[in-house]
Amino acid sequence: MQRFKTFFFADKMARWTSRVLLLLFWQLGGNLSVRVPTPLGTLQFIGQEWSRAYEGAPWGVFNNELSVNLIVTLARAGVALTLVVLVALVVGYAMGQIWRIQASFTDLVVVGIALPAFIWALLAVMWFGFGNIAPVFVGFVAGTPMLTVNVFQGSRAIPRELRDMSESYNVTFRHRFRHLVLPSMAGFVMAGFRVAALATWGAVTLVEWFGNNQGAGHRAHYWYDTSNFDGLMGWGLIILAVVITLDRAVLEPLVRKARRWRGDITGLGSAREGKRTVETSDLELLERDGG
Amino acid sequence: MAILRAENVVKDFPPPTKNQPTVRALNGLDFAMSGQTFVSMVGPSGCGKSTFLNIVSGVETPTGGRVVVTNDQGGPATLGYVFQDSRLLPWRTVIDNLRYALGDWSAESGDRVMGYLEMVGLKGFENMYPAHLSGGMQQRVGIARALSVEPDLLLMDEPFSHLDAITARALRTELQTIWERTRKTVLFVTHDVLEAVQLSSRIVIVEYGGTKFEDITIDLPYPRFQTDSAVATMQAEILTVFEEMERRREELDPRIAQDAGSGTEPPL
Repeated sequence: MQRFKTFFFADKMARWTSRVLLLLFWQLGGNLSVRVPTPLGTLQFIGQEWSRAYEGAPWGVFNNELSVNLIVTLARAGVALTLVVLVALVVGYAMGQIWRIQASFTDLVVVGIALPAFIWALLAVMWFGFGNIAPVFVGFVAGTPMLTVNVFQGSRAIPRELRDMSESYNVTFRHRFRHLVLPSMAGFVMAGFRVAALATWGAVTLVEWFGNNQGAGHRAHYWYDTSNFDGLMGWGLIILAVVITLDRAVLEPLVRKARRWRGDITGLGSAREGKRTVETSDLELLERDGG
Repeated sequence: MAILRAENVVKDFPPPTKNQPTVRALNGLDFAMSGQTFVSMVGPSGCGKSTFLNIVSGVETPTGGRVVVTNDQGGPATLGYVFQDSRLLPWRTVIDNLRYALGDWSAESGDRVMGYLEMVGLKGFENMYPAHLSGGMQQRVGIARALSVEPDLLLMDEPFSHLDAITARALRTELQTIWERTRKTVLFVTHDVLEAVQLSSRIVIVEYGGTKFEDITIDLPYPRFQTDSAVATMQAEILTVFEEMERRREELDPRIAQDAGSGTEPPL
């Protein structure tokens, strides 16, 4: 009974109510028109994609329309994101430390942020055609400026007092980088990584939609062409599920780890009790030590 | 123990705005100390005390003159620095903050730093993050960090000025006990004359403009307390020196006398 009461008066209840209501309205909306997909139809479609063997080959866990297309997109996004991290960390950090590099790259970063991904997507398809290069390229150009800006801000935010302290103790460059520079920038890097990951994922699926014969975007486009509303929504839902899983399973724990030293540690979308501050006074310490 | 020699040290800072002159923080400061001494550098705010400490520690470079710090064998001296604020890495635990300054992450270094944490009364808090400690405890970590590098010269820049009076009093007493035990060479900067008299074996008064005005030996037995009559008498004597310094400054620049009351307050 107590568990039941706790559940009903906690924020969990509000979140689950909104989720159930959303599904209910979605189902009702679907019943009103054949042009609106329904949750049941969408789930059925996802099941069908899973059970449909990929291009006539025998069915397997990794050889069906759902798995193959999803793995292809994940691989492309993974490669693009790796390049984003490598380039943005170096360029963003250098921009924060060396004014000439900042001056050289500022305009480029602004252009990268301002130019919509679909322009890049169309250009890339024309330049590189079908295949893996176009989605990886667009994922890279869409994600890099986002992370670069954040890393740049992070590298400017390394506290001067802590740098002076490190200088006075002759801390080596390696230790300084590991224990001062990286943790100082961690919050900015994680925030930037989250935005960059979403931008990269969106860009990769967009290129697949425009011009590719494999991947989640391509498959969504395929069902769009056949006017299969459940199919379109099904792939939308799969893409959404990947984004949420990536956010909750990878990014959120990383952000929490990067912020664990703070007094008020709270997860994103999940209430966690922060660690308490020690209230022992200095006089108590002195008494304890017999001072 | 360390030998510190500073000769004709000058430090200029760039002007805050284009049309202003450079700011001279130190103007030919001569200073020397060595052995088991606790020297306090006292002077009004902005007289260049902290700048001098930063030059000694290598954080700042002097515009002119030279500063040489060696250990008693003539080799390079190891320095420990306690800042006004604790300057701890907030994302590292107490013990890792000490290891960071030490540059040694071995198990042996763990034992060593634990010894210093125990010395400042923080045994049991080693795995906490600075945000979870009070201001006084954070400053204790700062002191333990400075001691853990086993410095030949310990630099302290107004380490208790950010703390409440009760905590500062407790830490002063503790610092005195630690110093009596370790007898490190200490250069302590403060604008609190009473604090300087309680702790120091020698007080150097720096006047506004960054030159040495007076060098006074404090020949009182330890432990000292701020309520001791001898300490209070010595404080009064030193304040007289400050008044004389202020008078001389007014004679040199009559505008200061006109501005009296709105200018820099003399240290207490």
